[in-house]
Amino acid sequence: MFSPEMWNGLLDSLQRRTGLLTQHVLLNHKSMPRAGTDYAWTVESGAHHLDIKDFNACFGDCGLIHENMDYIQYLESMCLDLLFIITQRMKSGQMHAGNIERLTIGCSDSRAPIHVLDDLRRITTIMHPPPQAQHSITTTNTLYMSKSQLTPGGPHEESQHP
Amino acid sequence: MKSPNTPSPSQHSTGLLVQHERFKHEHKPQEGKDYAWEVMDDGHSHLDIQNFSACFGNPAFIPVLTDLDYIQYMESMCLDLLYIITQRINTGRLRAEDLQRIRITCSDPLVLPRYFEDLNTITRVVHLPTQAH
Repeated sequence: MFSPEMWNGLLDSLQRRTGLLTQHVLLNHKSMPRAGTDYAWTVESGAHHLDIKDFNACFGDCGLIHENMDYIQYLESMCLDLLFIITQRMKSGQMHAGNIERLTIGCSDSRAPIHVLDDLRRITTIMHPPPQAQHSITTTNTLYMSKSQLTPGGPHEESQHP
Repeated sequence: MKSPNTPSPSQHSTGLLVQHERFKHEHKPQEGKDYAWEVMDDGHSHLDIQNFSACFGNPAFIPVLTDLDYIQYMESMCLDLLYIITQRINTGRLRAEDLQRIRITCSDPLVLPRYFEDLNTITRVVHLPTQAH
């Protein structure tokens, strides 16, 4: 067991950068979501798919949320829970950061509240460049190049910077 | 509404955003300078990230050397976004139901789209319930 001093030292070291995911795991995951039972991870032709099979086991019950701040904290917790599952996959060497672009996440639990999934997606979807800038991008032709437009031997990502 | 004495169901399960705010935001992103929040006539909210580094930290100065470093950066981005939204809620200008009508953009050209694409990928959970027979 950790003494209070050791515990504080551990938290301090975790807080130096972010480390909050680790804290989240330490403090909140008395019952960790289990691969195969609460979620399933499949890989086919290099494409990764994570299926949330038991919403409550992975994210907790959101049925008792009534206040705005509670809801934001619940979405925060969902982000960290998703990152927790992905981190477990990386730590076991079964996934790399480069695989994220070939990752899809589904939820096959019919009890899942769809509006919560929608809100989580909405608050983490950052459009770049913003739609109103599309015209100027087309006309300037050199700014903002998406990754999919980059080709081997072509312009480097830095070229999108003015 | 529940009574004020009823414990928040989420207090025991997270609260890390508050810690993140306390420990990470020595330089807090400033509304009107680092980001802009606009409410349209139809009630839609539009958050525009105007200064990526001020809002999320400069990736050039954060050692993202390993896979786990990168995941931690994603984690930090999630919490930074929620931090901005929380400030809006704390001042009574946004409610949870308004999240249905929020749009987030980044007008700062000095970013790598990969960060946004990966953040979007790891938080886009598509509801695909198994067909009942």
